[in-house]
Amino acid sequence: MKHTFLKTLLSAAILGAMTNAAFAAPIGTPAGDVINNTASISYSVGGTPQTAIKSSPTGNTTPGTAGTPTSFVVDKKIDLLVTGNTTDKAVQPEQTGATSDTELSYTLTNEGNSTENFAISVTDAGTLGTVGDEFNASNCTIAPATASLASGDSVAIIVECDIPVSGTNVANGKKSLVDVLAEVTGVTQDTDGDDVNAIDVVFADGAGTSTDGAIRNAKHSATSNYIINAAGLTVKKTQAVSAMDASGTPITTGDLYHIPGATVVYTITVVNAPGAATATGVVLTDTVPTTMTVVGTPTIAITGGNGGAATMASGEGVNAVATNGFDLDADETATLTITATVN
Amino acid sequence: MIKTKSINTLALGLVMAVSTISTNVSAAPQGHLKVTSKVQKLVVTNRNGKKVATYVPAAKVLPGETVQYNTFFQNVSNQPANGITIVNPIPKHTVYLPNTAQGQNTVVSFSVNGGKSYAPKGALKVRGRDGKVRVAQPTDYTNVKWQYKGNLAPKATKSVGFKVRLR
Repeated sequence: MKHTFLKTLLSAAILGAMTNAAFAAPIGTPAGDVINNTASISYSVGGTPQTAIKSSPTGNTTPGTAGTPTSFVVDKKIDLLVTGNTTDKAVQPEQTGATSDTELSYTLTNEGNSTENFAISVTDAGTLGTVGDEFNASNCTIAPATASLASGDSVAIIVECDIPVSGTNVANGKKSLVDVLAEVTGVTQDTDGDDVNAIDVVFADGAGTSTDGAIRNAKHSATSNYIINAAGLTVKKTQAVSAMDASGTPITTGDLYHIPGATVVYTITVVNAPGAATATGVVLTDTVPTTMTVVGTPTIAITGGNGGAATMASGEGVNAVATNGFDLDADETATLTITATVN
Repeated sequence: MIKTKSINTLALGLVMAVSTISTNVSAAPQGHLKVTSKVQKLVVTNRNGKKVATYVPAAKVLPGETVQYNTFFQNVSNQPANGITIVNPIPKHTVYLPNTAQGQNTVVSFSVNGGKSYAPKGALKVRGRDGKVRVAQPTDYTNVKWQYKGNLAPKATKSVGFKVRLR
């Protein structure tokens, strides 16, 4: 069965968005900021109010001055978050990222208190063969692969992969997990205690999915997933003897037999399941036994769903009945009706 | 011989020292109190397999961490001091942690208007962004005030403290 796909306007919009970071308020006091504190004391001696004295870190006794602030410096907190935003992206077997929409969306946010550079990568992850990760997508591309983000800012990430050919694990409802990992580059954690003359770097991130798997390693990851949404066709063929006797009188009761001259109506139906992908290029064929003769022109009609039309092919042999290719959307039934008489 | 010489030298030295002290006093008036502000943070270390929490001077702090401020006031004069009031603005980028303002023999109050007026916790009101007046939360406080009751005798040292969280 052939399938054709169109890149939608939606993907064009995502392409535009992915080149722009989202700007938000900084998270946490900026690294390197100095926080000052000064207390002020007013008092009396012998009933006479005195000039207030301001504090210093070592003790100040001089009234009426500004004192000296008691200070500390804000350290650099490295923290980041990746979220997977696409659940159950519907794809068909053999779809490629280059020619169709297999876009998975993610977001990277700098949750630390300093501007940092990030490296971003994609893996087809999860444990293959478990429920929820039955097949592997391949040839995944990711954009962007690097980002520089100020505290609180985010960037949108788009991944596109190729979907394998259909098979037992690449069938309706089967899924594939795709993992995106982001890492802060150019930082190492200070583990030797407070440096007096420099800002310390502390990793404070949580644990992401399998490609990260640890807290406080300046990395984070998350998954989005594909789900195979194939067409779900069911074909049924029935035959019924028209309820007429040889002379053309309608028979309403009694048994009906295949009697020479009797008319048989063959009905072939194909139904596409609710929620399934559109089946395109569907062709119905049927070969009527040579003991029968086709009468009149077989018909093909589509009911239900979005409606649609189908036509009979011409130039076939009399007993070889075929339709032209037609599309069948979810919830539609195509009915091919052939009337034939018993020779 | 040597002893006498030493005593004379000593006497001379003393005279010179007294003169120096007099010069200092007239150049920079000293108050009766010595006021010190310290900032500390709690660190948890592993000591012999046990987790021990200790206060250390806070030189570097991460957003989200808590620090403790203490103000020490010592009477360095020879007269008792009273009517002592300590005022501490909540430092920029920090948030007052509820129920952490303390000090022996003090009455604590807070300001939400930068120190223009003070009231006990629970008696403060602010106008929210929706224009409605509501009870002030610890995150609204801008200053802390301690009123020390009674006298501070010469040489005595007392302290007050409070905690904040770094945003």
